[in-house]
Amino acid sequence: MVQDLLSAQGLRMDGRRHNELRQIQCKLGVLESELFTHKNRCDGSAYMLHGNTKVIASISGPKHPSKSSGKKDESFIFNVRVKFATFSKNGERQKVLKNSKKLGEIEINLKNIFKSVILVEKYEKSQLDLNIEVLQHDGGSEICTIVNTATLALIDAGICMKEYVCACTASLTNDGLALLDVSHLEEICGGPTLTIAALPRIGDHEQSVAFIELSQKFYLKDLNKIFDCCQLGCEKIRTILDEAIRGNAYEHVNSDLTSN
Amino acid sequence: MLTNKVFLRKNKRGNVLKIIREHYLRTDLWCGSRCCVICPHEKHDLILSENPTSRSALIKEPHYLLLDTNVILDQIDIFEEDVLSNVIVVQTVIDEVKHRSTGVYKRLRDILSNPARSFYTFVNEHHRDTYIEREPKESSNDRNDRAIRKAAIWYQNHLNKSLKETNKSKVKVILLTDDADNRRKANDEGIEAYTVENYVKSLTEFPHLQDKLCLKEYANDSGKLPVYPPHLTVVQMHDGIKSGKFYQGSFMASRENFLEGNVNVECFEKFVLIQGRESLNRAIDGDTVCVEVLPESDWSSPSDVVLEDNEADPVDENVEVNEDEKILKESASNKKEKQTTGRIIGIIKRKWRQYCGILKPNEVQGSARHIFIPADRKIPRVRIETRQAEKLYNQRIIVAIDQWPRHSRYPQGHFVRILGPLGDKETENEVLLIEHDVPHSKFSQEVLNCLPSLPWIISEQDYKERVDLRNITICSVDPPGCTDIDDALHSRLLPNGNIEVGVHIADVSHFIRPGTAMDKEAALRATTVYLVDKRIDMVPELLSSNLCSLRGNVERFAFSCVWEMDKDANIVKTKFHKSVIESKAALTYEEAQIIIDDKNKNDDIAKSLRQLNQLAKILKRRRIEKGALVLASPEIRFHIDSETNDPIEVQAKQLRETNSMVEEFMLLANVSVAEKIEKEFPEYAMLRRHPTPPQANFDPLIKAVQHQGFDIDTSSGKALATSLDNIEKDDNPYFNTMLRILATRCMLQAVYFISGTLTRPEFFHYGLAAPIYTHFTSPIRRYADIIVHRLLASCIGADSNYQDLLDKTKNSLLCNNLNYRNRMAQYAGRASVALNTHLFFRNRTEEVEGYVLFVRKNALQILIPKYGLEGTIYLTGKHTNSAVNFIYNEENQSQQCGSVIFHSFDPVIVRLSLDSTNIQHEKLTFELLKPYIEGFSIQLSDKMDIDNAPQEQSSDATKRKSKESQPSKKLSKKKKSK
Ligand SMILES: [Zn+2]
Repeated sequence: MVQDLLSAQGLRMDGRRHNELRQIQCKLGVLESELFTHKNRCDGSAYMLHGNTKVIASISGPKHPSKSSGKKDESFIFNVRVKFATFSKNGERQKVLKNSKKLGEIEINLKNIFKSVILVEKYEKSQLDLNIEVLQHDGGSEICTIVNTATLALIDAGICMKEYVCACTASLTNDGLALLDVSHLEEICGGPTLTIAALPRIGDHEQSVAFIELSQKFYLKDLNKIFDCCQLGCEKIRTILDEAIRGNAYEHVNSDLTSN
Repeated sequence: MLTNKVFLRKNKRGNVLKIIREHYLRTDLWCGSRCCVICPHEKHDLILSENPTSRSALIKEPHYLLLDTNVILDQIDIFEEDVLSNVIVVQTVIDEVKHRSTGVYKRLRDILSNPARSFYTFVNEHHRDTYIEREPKESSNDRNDRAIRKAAIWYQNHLNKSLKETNKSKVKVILLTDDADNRRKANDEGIEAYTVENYVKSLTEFPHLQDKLCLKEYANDSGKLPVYPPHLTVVQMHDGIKSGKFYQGSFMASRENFLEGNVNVECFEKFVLIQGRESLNRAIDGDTVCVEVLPESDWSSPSDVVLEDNEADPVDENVEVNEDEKILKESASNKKEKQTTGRIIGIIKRKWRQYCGILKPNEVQGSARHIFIPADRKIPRVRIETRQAEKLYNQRIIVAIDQWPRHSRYPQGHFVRILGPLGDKETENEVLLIEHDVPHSKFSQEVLNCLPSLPWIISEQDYKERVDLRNITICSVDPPGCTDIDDALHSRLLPNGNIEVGVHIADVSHFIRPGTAMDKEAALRATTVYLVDKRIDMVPELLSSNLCSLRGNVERFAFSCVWEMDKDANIVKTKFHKSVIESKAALTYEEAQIIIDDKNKNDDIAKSLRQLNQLAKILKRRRIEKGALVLASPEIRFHIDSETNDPIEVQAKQLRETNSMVEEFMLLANVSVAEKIEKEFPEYAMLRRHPTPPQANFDPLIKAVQHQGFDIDTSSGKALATSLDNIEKDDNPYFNTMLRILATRCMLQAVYFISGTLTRPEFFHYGLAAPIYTHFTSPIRRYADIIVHRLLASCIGADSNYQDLLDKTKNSLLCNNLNYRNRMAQYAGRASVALNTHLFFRNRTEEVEGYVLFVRKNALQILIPKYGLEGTIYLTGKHTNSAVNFIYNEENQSQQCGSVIFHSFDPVIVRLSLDSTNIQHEKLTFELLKPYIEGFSIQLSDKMDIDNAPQEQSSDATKRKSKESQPSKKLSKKKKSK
């Protein structure tokens, strides 16, 4: 039987309540562009620690398409590369994803998610490279943290987007209560995991979903509950990202003022 | 606030891994006390009372108790009593209990979830002020003890602060721990700490609570000589087993001989025999033990003597009781065939449970030390201490074993509770349920919460999702008084001349959703248990007798299996779907039979039943041609007095054509469903198989028949079936039935299994001669059927799949439980029949016809068809005082005395009476009346005419019954399939 994910006191195994995120720390502009050669130039970067998952994302571009990359007729070239650091595995957890099928899947998913959000028409005939490095991963559907970090990096690089893309997971207890932001431990204890990447709000519109993934089957009647929980999580994450971005901007303005 | 827990863990390859887990600390966890003015409690969080007045002579001030882990593990019986309240249990303790004993954990959770008990769970492990890190070199036990003390200190400070603000009197926090070191440390840190024993003994108002104290702590009377050799340590056992020096196995005590037992070691074909007190070395039935095999010169053979522990003076430990051991040695040594013999050198895992039994009166007046005699003969007597012995005599009580030290002949335990007066029907039912490990407590609130709310209404959506069969003439046929109707049938003529036959099964899986509390409970219970006068439901009554039960003239959900058949009962097409039905009549077997036989009846029901009956006959013939066995077991039914609940009449069950009609279609449905789910889920289908018995099993049958001048072919099921059909004896009409009874005893148990765990030929069902079989037709009373329903629903897209449904390992474990519970339910049913038979024979004797079933060396085994009873007439040995000499002929299995010779199957007349000398184990006595043997048989009563004896001799009660024709309760339900 599936282990109880929630105690009688309403706490999860790591001490969170059902609707609480794991800790998230993030920072923009972590990689100094000067350090990079012209070829590997970095126009924006971000770092995120989400639970025990650590991700760095960097953006190079927009720039002229390099000869080697992409097809010529493509008006906007968007390359995504995901790398798991060899030291990234935590304890006995999953094998490091290296050129595996799963890695390719993550890259394709990222590509599709962000192509639908970036204002592509502004970047005709240019190329954008997104590089992701997972320094440490702790389950909880690593694509979540990757998406969130990538959003920050894109904003740091000044790329025009319709809205922040926020990703979040949710699971379900035996009693049918939705759990926000699944940890690795909860994942291996057997609950189903739903992952969505959403655009929390565009003007007055409702949330729209850019990506959805299910780890296993569950009853259709529970889908709404678990989906709502994910959406709530995305909104919470948006607030966190927003604060980080504004904080970062404020810092820049301040430092600009003092230097002037 | 966040802290990371870092673990170092070795993996299988021996690499050390560092595991980091997040561990959040909170500031929103409250103390749960009504005297607190600091925490912003919600009302339902306030568990601990404002003024916890002390009832202990040790502590004057009002106080809360805080428990450590071992206190709960050892003394859960104390806490289950509704005496102690205002108790704080911290998370550290709960986690440790959960880790160390699931049984105690479950009981603890029941206490914690009952607000009336005032037990508060404090989540210290996630509280910012009470979480502590394990220090370098600190053992995890020490760390946990420290965490518990930390919580106690926090509570004390927290309460003091609150009380200071309100100027109330002080509330103390008292730590209960049996660990002296922990108590000392607590005292150093300013926390009062006591042992449970001291605390419980100081509760002067509740002297009886002391009886429930676990005796572990104060059992070490020194100065006594050890009775038993020491047990090896875990490491020694482990190394020994690894090197092949020792073996691991489960210990099975002998029922007949308290100084003998067997160990089932996997790598040996035969059991390892254990004889004598020292070799048994404190193993108790069911324990997993470590055994050492003796050198072949010391091997022995199982003794055939019955030895009961009849020690006269239980209080005196030092009396040498070697008499029994001597008898055992003698009886074992003069045998030829030796068996692997061993001795037990250590216990790997105890399988102690709570035991029913009685208290043996102690000759020493006023002594607190007593001996408890368990009802189960395989369990040794238990030494307990109680101050209320007077109250416990003539009561059935429950006792738990605490430990078995070397110097004590008997294990030591403590009194748990009273079941009720000895001989009382309710009490005896309770005893047999406990002894057969039948979960029979009321359904918990958590389970009842899973029930649909009433009135239950079928929605438009339901009609849309199901096939509407409400206008089809469906009816059910069951035993009288059946309230859990899980099947209904219909048949009708199709335009193309074929016949449509439908089997409709209660859609229980619609109500019992996977993973819910109700689902877990049903999976645990595995089956409904039928006692003679009581039914222990697998699912709550609202479902079993109402919403799921396919009663007449109400709309119900069903899972239907519908065939198109030609006139010769060949299946043309099979389909499965969920449906809504409305049964037009809930008939008994008798009513259905009357409708079929009544030529004047020609309505839809009659037509449908006749059609079904006709097809069933073809199906049955075909099945028997294929080699299915028609076996027999003497089944009886009690007529129960509705006022006194005592059995007043016993009747052999009657079988009608309609019984077999229903059975045929159930078998057919089960086979059809088995094929379907196995095809769809070749790895994960839950099926039922009946293994072919090894030829050696048939030896007693073959021997018995040979002496009657017949040959029996047991080489295959088909051959056996044919043989059984052809052997008849004109002068003994019961002969064939007895043969079938004997054949049944040669069979193995049918079991559930998961298709992916065995090969296709192993799926075979021997008794039914079916290559594949499952259980689909009784989901109200069998859990296997619920799983099969879910699998089938998933096949046809009627319901979604879930992860555990397709988990081979989990479901194999589930099968083990189902098989175990089924076996136990069967034993419990038989024990219930025996109990009622005994009640029936109280204060009455009866002279009845019987037959010799087996001839033994010192006895005759007698079968009484009228009561389905079996018993023994002892010819020689300590059970009979007769001086008559019988001559046993092993070659042709006979006993001779003068001109009288007994063979198997010979008719006899015996007198039955109840022997109540052993109050725990009443037994029926069989005495020989006819044939008459001078000096052995008892005298016939004068007026009796032997040939009509059974009917004439029926007692007053029976006569009264027939006159008044009282309504009788009949809950027992004939199983429709094997
Ligand atoms: Zn408080």
